[in-house]
Amino acid sequence: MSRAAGDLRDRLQALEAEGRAELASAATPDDVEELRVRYLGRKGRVTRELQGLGALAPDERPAVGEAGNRVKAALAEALDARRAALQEALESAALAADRVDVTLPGRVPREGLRHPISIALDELRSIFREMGFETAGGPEIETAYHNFSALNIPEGHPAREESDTIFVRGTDLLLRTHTSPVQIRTMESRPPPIRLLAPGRCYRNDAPDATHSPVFYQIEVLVVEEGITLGHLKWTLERFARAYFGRDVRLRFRPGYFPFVEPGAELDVACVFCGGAGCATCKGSGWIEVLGSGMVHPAVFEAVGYDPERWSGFAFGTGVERLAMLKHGIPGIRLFYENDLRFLAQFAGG
Amino acid sequence: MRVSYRWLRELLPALELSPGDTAERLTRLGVLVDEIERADRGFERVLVGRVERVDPHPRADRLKVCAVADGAGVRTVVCGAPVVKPGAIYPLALPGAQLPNGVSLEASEIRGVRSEGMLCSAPELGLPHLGEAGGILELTAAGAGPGDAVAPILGLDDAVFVLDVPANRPDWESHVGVARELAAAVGGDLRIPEPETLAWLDEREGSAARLSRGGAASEPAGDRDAAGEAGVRIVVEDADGCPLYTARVIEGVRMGPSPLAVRQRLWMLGVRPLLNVVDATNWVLLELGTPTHAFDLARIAGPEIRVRRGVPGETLVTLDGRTRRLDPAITVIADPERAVAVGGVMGGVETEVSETSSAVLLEAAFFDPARIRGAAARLEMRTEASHRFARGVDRTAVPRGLRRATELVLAWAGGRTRGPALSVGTLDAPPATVRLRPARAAALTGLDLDAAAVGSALAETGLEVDPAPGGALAVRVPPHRYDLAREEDLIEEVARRVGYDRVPSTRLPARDEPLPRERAAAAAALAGRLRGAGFDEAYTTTFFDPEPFGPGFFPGRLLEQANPLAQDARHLRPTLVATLAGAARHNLRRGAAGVAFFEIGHVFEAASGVDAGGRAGPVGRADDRGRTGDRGRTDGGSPTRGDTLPPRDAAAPADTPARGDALPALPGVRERRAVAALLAGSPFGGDWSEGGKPRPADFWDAKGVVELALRGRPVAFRPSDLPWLHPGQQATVLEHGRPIGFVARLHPRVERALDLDAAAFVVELDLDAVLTAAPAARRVSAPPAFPRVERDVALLAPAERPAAELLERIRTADLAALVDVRIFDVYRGAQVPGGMRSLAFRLVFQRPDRTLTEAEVDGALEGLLADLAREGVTRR
Repeated sequence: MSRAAGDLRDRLQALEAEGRAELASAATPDDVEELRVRYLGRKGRVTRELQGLGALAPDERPAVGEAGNRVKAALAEALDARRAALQEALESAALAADRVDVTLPGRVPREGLRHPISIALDELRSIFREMGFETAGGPEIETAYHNFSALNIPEGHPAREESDTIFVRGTDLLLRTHTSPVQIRTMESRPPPIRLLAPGRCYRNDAPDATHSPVFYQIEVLVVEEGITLGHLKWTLERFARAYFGRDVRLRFRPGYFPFVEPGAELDVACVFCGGAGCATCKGSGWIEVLGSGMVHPAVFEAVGYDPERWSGFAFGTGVERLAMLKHGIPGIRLFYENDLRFLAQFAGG
Repeated sequence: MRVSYRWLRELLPALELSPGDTAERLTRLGVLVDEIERADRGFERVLVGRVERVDPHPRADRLKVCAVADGAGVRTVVCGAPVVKPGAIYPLALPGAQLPNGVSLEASEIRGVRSEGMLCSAPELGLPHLGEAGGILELTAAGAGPGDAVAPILGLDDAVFVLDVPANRPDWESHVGVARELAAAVGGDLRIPEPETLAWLDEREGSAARLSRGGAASEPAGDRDAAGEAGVRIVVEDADGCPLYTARVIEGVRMGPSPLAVRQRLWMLGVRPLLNVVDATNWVLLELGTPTHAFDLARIAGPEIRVRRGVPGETLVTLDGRTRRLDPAITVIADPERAVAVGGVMGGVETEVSETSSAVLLEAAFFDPARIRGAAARLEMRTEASHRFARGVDRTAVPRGLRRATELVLAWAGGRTRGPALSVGTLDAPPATVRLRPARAAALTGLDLDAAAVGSALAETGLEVDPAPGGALAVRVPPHRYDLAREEDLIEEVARRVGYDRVPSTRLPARDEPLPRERAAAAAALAGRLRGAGFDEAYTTTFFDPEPFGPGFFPGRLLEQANPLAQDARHLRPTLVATLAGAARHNLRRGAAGVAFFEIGHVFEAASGVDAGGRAGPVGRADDRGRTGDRGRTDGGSPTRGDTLPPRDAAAPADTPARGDALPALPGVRERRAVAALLAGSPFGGDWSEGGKPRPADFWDAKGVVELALRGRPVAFRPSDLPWLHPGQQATVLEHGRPIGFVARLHPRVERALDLDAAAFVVELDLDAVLTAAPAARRVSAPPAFPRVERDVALLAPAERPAAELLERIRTADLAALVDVRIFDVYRGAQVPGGMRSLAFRLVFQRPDRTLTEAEVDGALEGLLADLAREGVTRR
């Protein structure tokens, strides 16, 4: 190998060493780019040296050229590696700076609170819809006929006296004392079969206390079909109570009196507070009354023009706040109508 | 009705169930036991103590130091009662006792002497009615020994059932009635008291011998007029109101307290013990359910009793001291001079027996239930007697009631009967027969019942059953069973006897008919959307005070309660806003930064000439119609006027909610369903990422509810001028020109009057208008394939020109390819000339078939701007 060729090869190798050394002290990706231009750019030092190949003897060019390409490749690889490393370090630093305190609260679009009466009503509607009941409402201002007479509560009946009815001044009308008039309106409007759930607001002239409110909600359930028995009522009540209070709830089905049903029945659940041992809430009895029910009284069928020999049915009604109070341990009915956000917030997600 | 467990056992010795099991059995029979009270509560550490020695207290003149034998030993007790004496027996409360009057007792030093208990007074034992002298209750006569429990001596080893007696079972309003029900369930003979059965009283008073057997009441005859040996004439003029009147004279009575056990039992059952004669009538009421009354015979003029209707203008002071106005709808017991009692309700104070009475007239009668209900309602009084008569008393038991009362008076007050029982009227209670088909009983109950099973269940309960044609049974109903009138009543009786727990739970048959779309479900979905938008759900009361809203709030159209309990909450809300304000105030006052409530509920107005509120004159429908066409309404009512609302369900296509669900039109009232929201203060945001500053609510939050509820259906907003709303921030919401609601800020005067301390923005929509027009299935297309071009342009327009109008002007301009335009900024300030404002619009252009060029968009825009400029709207 000629001297010139040897020198060129030595210079190229020296450049590689020099380049690597400089690269080691490059601090930023920009520094690395600068070195790439300086060594490998069109006018870079390696490029320029390689231009000296032409001055060599043709038989020496391949060997030196190959050496030159090796240097170039090695430097390029070193540059890339260095750049990648620096870039990564930079990014890590940037990411480190972007660290958040993951314990700070997330930003959730605020969802409004669902009122416990709605929670109960929505649940009841879905329980009964699965059993084939449709939901309908009715007026809160009612006639005495729909609220009483058609329900086998004629004038002078004790149940009429005891209902603490609120009357509307200047009219013959009243604020319904229960959701039962929806039974009458529904039966007046169409022939059987009927499976009705009627939730709604009711009124009693009660002084407010822990368990009384002049305004409260009830649900009314009415079934009129052929061949309906007290046994169907019992099954429906059991299914409803288990769906609402839980599978293990203990129930007591016993006779009760309501003028618009006969036979009449009441349903008790084992006291949810003491488990049946007896406490202040259940007044020592271990049971809590939850609803009144029974087979639709033939006088009611007669009032709406149904043939009691052909159709039979059952009805029941219960207080919605009472159900919710038992389920959630709500200490007083007044809380439902105060709408205190600190109370309502406890039902969030419910 | 309070019932003594021991009394039940006296009437039904076969009853061996514990009090708890008895209560459970009664409840399963339909006699709900609401509560079981132990009569000896508080007596756990109260024993009989015998005072062995009494010494003066070394450091207090009025105290004594007693050595008291307690059965186990002798303890020292300091006592302040001057009457305490050696050898006497007193109730001794030990340390640790929780006395019935609420006091808990501990051993303590009293002026240097340690007292290990207390000798009790009657009030300390919760028995203030027991007469005592000197501050402690002496029990020496009871014959008990030291260490014995005190409760049994006082008749308190008992349990009291608080019964919830249903209105159709007046026969359960007595111990005999309840015992009769139990006897049918547990078996055993009922011992209804007859004149001979006075065993437990004999022991105490030894007065049974005084009973004049010869004078036992004769069975009443059917006279209208009776007198005779008794020396009292009885005339019944009002035989409809009083079909049967019986009476008996007893003379020579010694008025005074009843025996201790009697007083104790009455007290336990909630009846205040009085004079022995009165106690006897109360006892008979509790025992047999038969109301009786005792008159002081000396104060009856004549003596003659006239049972007649009241006379208009006549008055009577009843035993409760109140003056009652009588009238012909009321049956009155009178003497020849004046009324002496409201028949079947309450006696008069002038003829009341007193400590000086020596002859009494005992009365037992049957009054017509409807007459008594009427009298009790007119006089607004309810007594134990009227309660029972109103529901129905067994008229065949009236003579027994009189005999029993006579017997007890003789036993407790002495004296002797004068003449036989007097009786006017008839006992005719035609035995009712009700037909019962056993197959029907089985079909209605689901129980496996045949004629034999039905017959034996009814026989158990004391009903007589005969075969009737067609396999049916003819059931004879006893006179005390007012509840058994129809076949279904007997079916219940059978089911009760067999036991409701044996009714087989039977699955409802499956239904193949699909359920209709429900209004309730649609309303619940709307509630869900409002919650999703950050509104909290409220359920407010229906009643409110219109005062803070001022005189212009639904004038003449407010409905109110005819019989309100609370004067400031007697009106029915004509808008949900009226009661949502209360929920807002409640929370703002308790530190909430803001509220955003919504509610779905019913609202009420007077309609068609009913001057319900007693305010302005009648509101006629024609009058309403005349004014609702007017833009400048001045009547102050709701912008959603009835007459302009769509007829219900008229506009409802295939998606009409549940059948029969429409609200009926009732005369004089208008009831609607509504959805409303109220925002006040700063309810939104305010978390740490926003620097903790919540955003105040404004008009646009309220207005947004309309857009949210109606989901982009075309609505218009027309400024309105109701006096209870902010004059510059209120609008009627119109859909197809029809008012369906309003959006507004409350008038600041109203906000202040409501104590809100914050601006309150409100919105209300007619719920049925919102829900009935829910969209049907719609057709859709794929998203556009070609890019959109946007242009923002700020326009200077006269400030009074409604933005919606300008928006509509641009939307409907003939601009090819304009697919959307919206307002993104509104500005009034230094750089905008007076009377003008700047509205910035973003216009979006797009074609479905090709890419638009910038040039054609700009060309279209220039054309629009040129047109607008001619209308005085220029580019800014």
